[in-house]
This record gives sequence, structure tokens and C-alpha cells, in this order.
Amino acid sequence: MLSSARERLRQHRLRAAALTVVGIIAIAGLVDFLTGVQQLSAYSDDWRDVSQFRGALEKAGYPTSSIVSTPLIVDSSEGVPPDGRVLVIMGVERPYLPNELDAIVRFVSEGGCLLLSDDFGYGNPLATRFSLGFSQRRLYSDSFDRNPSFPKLNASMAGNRYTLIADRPCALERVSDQEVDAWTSVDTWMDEDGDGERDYSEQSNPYPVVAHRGYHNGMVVICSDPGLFINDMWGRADNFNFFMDYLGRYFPQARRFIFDETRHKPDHLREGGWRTGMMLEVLTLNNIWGKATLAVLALLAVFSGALLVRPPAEWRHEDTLGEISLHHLSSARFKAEDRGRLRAALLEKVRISLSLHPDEFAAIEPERLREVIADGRLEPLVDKPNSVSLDDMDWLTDLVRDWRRR
Amino acid sequence: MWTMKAATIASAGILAGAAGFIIRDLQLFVVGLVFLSFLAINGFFRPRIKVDRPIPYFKVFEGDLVDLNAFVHNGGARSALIEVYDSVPTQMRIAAGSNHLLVHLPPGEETAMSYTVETPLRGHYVFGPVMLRRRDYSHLFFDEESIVERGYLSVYPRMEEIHTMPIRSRYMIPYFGTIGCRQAGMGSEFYYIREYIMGDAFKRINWKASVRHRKWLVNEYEKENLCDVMLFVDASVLNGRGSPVRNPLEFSVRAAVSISTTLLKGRNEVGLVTYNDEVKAIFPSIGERQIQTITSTLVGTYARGDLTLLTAVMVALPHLHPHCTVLVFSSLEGDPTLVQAVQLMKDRGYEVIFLSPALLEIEMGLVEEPMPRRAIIGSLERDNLIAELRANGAVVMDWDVHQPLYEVLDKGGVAG
Repeated sequence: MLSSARERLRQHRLRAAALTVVGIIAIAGLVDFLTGVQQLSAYSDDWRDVSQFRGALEKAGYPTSSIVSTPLIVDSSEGVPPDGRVLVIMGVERPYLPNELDAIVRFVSEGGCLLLSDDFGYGNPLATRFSLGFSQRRLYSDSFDRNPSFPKLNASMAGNRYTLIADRPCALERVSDQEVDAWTSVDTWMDEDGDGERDYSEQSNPYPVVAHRGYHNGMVVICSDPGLFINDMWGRADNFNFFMDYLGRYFPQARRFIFDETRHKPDHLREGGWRTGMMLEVLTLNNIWGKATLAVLALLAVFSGALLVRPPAEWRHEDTLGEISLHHLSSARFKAEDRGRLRAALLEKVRISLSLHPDEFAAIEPERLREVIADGRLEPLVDKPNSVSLDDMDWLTDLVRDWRRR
Repeated sequence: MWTMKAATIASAGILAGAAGFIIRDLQLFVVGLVFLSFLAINGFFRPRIKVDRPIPYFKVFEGDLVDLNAFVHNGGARSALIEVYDSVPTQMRIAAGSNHLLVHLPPGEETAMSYTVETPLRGHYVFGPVMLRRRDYSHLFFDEESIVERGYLSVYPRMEEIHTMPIRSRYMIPYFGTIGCRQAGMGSEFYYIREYIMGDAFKRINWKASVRHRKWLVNEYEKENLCDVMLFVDASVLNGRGSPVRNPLEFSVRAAVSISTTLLKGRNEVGLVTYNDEVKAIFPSIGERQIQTITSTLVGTYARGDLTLLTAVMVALPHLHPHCTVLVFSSLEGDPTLVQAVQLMKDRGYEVIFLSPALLEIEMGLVEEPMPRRAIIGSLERDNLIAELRANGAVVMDWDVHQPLYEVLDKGGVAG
């Protein structure tokens, strides 16, 4: 008969396995939720989100959508040709996985468009794939709006000149002058050492902030300040006009803008968990190892389903008549408390031999007791039982058993 | 209920169906559907079975064999693959046959499951329920059902042979009985020889002694009266140590049943107190009904708890007749109040007799190994306790259970 303890253990294991999987997803979601700042979301109306930019795109006739799991699925917009899709990455707050970077590069190579805007985040690994880069050092300018954190940018396109206001930008790297579409003013300096102060070595120069680069069949627009797109800045100066014209110029085939929301902090814990779950799903379905893992998990699920079922108990009569429980013979070896027991047995034997009441016996002199016992070998047991070695208990027990009053 | 096979098919079916639905693969979806349909179709075929298992007796004695039959009838319209199992108490052995049956039964047919159980241990037992497990032919589903309600059987201890009673009370009920009262008078047991005095019946003359001493001598007999006896049976957990069949409580119960029955048949009043995790008292009384009451109570006494003799005496004191004899059945293990209880009873004028099956001897008989030195300490403690009880006026019969009961009773205890 299958023991119930074994069955319970099996149930516990299954439960533990299920809880571990759920726990991993929950913890990942929790970490995602607790770290970072909520910003640059296309679906939130806070001052540092980019919902106005998305609204402007929709007003201009571009449908928008978002990716919340992983950019691996950027190819999956049905009904829209690759060159009609624009992947918008506003701020890279969490690093991309290598296969995610590969997927984005592949997307651009096949004709897709990428609008990458980042400053001090994890955008460099992606920009590097297109031989671009972010300086990740902050720009300050004497030509600013309100304070030096908001430097003015100069942009020109198709003969039109625009003035943009940036929000704590950094500079673009590895771009040619022909690719740059917006510069800072000449009195802009880069805080190389990050101390917020201008040093002698920090020279004034115009720095590139917005640029474009063709990549195979696609187009990359890179911007070193996502603050240009946030709700608070979108209506300032020519930010809105410039970018709407700019996108129309460089993404003429665009039919859908896809916002990558995967690198932003989720609004709710539930959203974080869901995002993580979606990401795991996509990660597993988009490579052979993931598929293999999924197949193994499916097999495990099938077997778990089978194991969850209690097999019918084997019916067999087993009698308990042969069971033995011992008291005196439960242990053959002497224990520490046996010294006290043996001493008490000896003294009781002596007391009975003297026909004394226990109170009378308690009052007996030690010398008298030694006389009565009349065996020096038993004295350590009577006087200091704890000093008696357990190895000596064998012969002491025999002595006590054979003791007679002389 | 589902078997593992059914659960595997169901899991695979659900997974395949769900995966097919999600990835829009019709073939995978159909495979899942086929699995689930297979399960559903098999689930419809459940046979209809009846089982009848009468118990022929209500009471048997230890060691008796009981023949049992369970009749299984398929009352459904389809053949049935069934498994029948009769739950037999674990204190019984299957002596012949089997209480488990796996059978294919065509519709309308009946089969019998016969087996014999041996009842080596006294007690009130519950048989059943008879369990039925029905299966479909694909072994996907089974359901278990309790078909026959429980049946009851009491196993009574076998009576031990008793020649003499160890009871010698100074305070007897002045009616002719069977218990010697340490006085010359009407009785059947020889007491002493005295000189003939006028009025003695001739049939009492001891002719051999008269010739030897050349004067008339007559036999005097011990006066035999009735006596009130209260039995105390120690059923604390230590008295259950040993094996289920050989432990101090089993020997105590057997002895208590034999002694109480003998006493009650001699028209003495007998009561019973058992103590384990509770104290149960049966007031002293006489007659056949009291034999049944005491025996039935003893049959249903099991080793548990750790109440002491002193507690039992305190509870039972209101029910004890004045100057009655108290007969205690105990292994004397694990009860620190024995001496105190004896002192209390002696102070109240009760005769106290212990019949004590030795636990150490029982354990030695079970393990069949030389006695370890450590066990000698227990033996010394027991000897000291017996000596102390005797010193307090109790009669203690130290019972090595390898001896028959009558030998111990014949030998009697040594009064303090």
C-alpha cells in the first residue's frame, strides 16, 4: 500500500515546483516594478511621458501600437510591410538581451525604421550596432531656455530652420556632419568629468543631438535627448513642428509606429508580472532552446497531471500482531540516568534489609551506611554516582544484584 | 476517480487542444479533442454491483476461527471488472482464503469471496466496510464504494484454569460460600485436626490419625463464606508493552476474567475498576449478568493513558464495600503511587492482593536474547517495589507469565 506520507511528499514537491515557477515570474515582475522611475511611456499623461507625441502621430494619421513583452516580436505586425513600420524606442532603462538587439538590427536591415532616443540609459549597445553612440555626458549651454539644463538646439531641414529646446541632453557620437540634423549652439560644453562645473579642458562646441543614418534597407533616426519628446517639452519652441516634419521626411513609407514599452518601468505590479510572463513566452517561442524547454515543461505538465492523481490504494490485509514495543529491553546500553536508577535500587535494597522507614533511612549516617553496605566497590556509586563510568555499570549492576546484608 | 493513465491522457489532451487552439493548428487541436473524447466515452461505462457479507457470530473466543463469505452480484446490464475488499481488523489474521477479490462478472451473475479469519486477540472489533472498486475496461477510471456497512464481532478471552483462590479475607459476609476465612467452621478445605468432643459428627473422625495417636481425633475444616471482591485492572500504556498478544494487560485481562467468573459463580459480589486514561468502575454485584458486564468491559479495555492506582482508588472508594478484598492486576511498571495506594487501602481496612505479570519476563520471551545488564536494574526496582508493597501489608503474586495462572494462584503471595 502506498504510504500516505510518500504521497504527501509527492504532492508537496509538485506544489513547490509550481510555486517556484510562479515565484520566479512574480519576483521578476516585482523587481521590474520596484526599480527605476516611471517615465517616457507612450500611454501615460505624466509630464515626463510621451503620450502627446503618440497623440500627434495618430492625429497625423499614423496608427500606433506598442510592444510590452520583448522587441523580438517587432516583425509580427501583420498587414504592414517591413518598411512601413517604425520602431520607437524612447529611453532604454533596462538593457536589451543580445537576441533582442539582433532582432532590432534585423528589423532595420529588412527595411524597418528605428527612432532611437536615449541619453544616459542602456541605448549604447543598440546604437553601436548601427555604428552610432551616445556620449552619456551631459551638455550645458549658454544658449538656453530658462536655465542651462534646457539648451537650445538649431535644426534645419529642406531650407527651414527650427529652434528646439532640449532637456538635459547628451551628445551623439560617431555621426558625420551630413547625418546630423540638429546641433546645439556653439557655446555648448560637455561636462566630461560629471562634476556639473565647467573646467578649462571643457571646450565650447556645437554638439550633434539629432541625426539619421541609412542602414541596409532601413533607416535609423537617433536622438540623444528623449526629453525632446516628453509632454512637458513637446509644445515648446519648434519641437512639435520639427519632429513631425522630420519623421515625414525620413520615414516617408511609415504606416505604423510601434512604441517599445518593454524598457520602461511598469505602472502596476500586475502589469510588471504580465510583461515578464509575456517576455518569457516570447523568449521561449523565438529560439530552439526556448522551444525545447517549453516542450520539456509541457511533458512535465502532462506527467504532473498524472502524478497529481492518487493511484488506487493496494488492498491487502496486514495484521499488527507481530509488532513489538519494548520498555526494559528498548536499549541494551547503559544511559546516564541509569547511574541514578542503580544507586536508588541499591539504597532501597539496603533500606528494606534494615526494615527502616524511608524517613529513618534518610537520617542514617554515611559511615553507618558504608558499614551496612560493606563493599568498598559500591561506595563511588553511593557517594558520587555521576563519577561512575558507564563502562563500570556492568559489574556494578551485578554487584548490586548480588548484594546481601551481612 | 481517475487513474494515472486517465490523468495523463487528459493532461495531454488539454495541452494539445489548448496549444492547437493558440497556435491555430487544427491537427493538434483535433488530437487533443480525440484524447478527451476517449476519456468521455470510457467514463460512461460504470457497472452496478451489490455485495452482501453477513457475519455469522457476535461473540467468539480467542484463537477461534471465523468463516466469512461475501457474495458479489452484478445487477447491471454490462459485464463488470471489479475488485472487492473486506476490511478486516488488523488484530486478526487471515487463516485461509483471501479477503480480496478481483473478478470479471458478467451481468446477472454472482460470485462468492470466502475466507477464514483467526482471532488471537480479545477485543470488540468492527469488520468492514466491504469496499468495492469498479473499473472500466481501459483502466482509465475507477470508483470506490463502501458497499456493506460495518459488522461487529467480540472476541472474548479464554478462561484460565483456576484451582484455588488466593483470597483469604478476615472480614467475610456471614453466608456460606467458597472463600476461606481463616477460621474453623463449615467448609470443604481441611484446616487442622483436633480432639474429639461430644457432639462431633462421626463422619468427621480422622480414623488414621486416631489410630496413630490412640485417641479420637476429628478433622476441622476452614470456614468458607462469601466475600466482596473489587478487581482493579491497570491498563496504562506501559501495560500494553510487549506484543499485541503477549503483554501485561492481556495476561491481566485473562486472569481477571477467569477470577471474576469463578468468584461470581461462587455467589460472591464482584466489582471492577479499570484505569488507563480514564477510570471506569462497575459496582460490585452478583450473578450471571455481572459476569457478562465485567467480561464485556474487560474485553473492551485497551492500554493507553497513565492514570495511577491511587487515582483509581480515590475514584472507586465510594463504591468499595467495607473490608472487601481488592485484587489489583498490574505489571507494577510506571506507577509511583502504588505504595501510597496500598497504605490508603490498608488504612481503610481493605485486603490488598496484587497479581503482577512481569513485563521484563514477557519482553525476554519476545526477543529471545540474553538479558542485557541494563534490564537488571528494572528487575531490581521491581523486586524492591514488591518487597515494599509486602512490607505495607499487601499480598503480591509475582507472575512469571511462562507459568500457568493456576500455579501462581496455588502458590499464593507472601503476606506482609
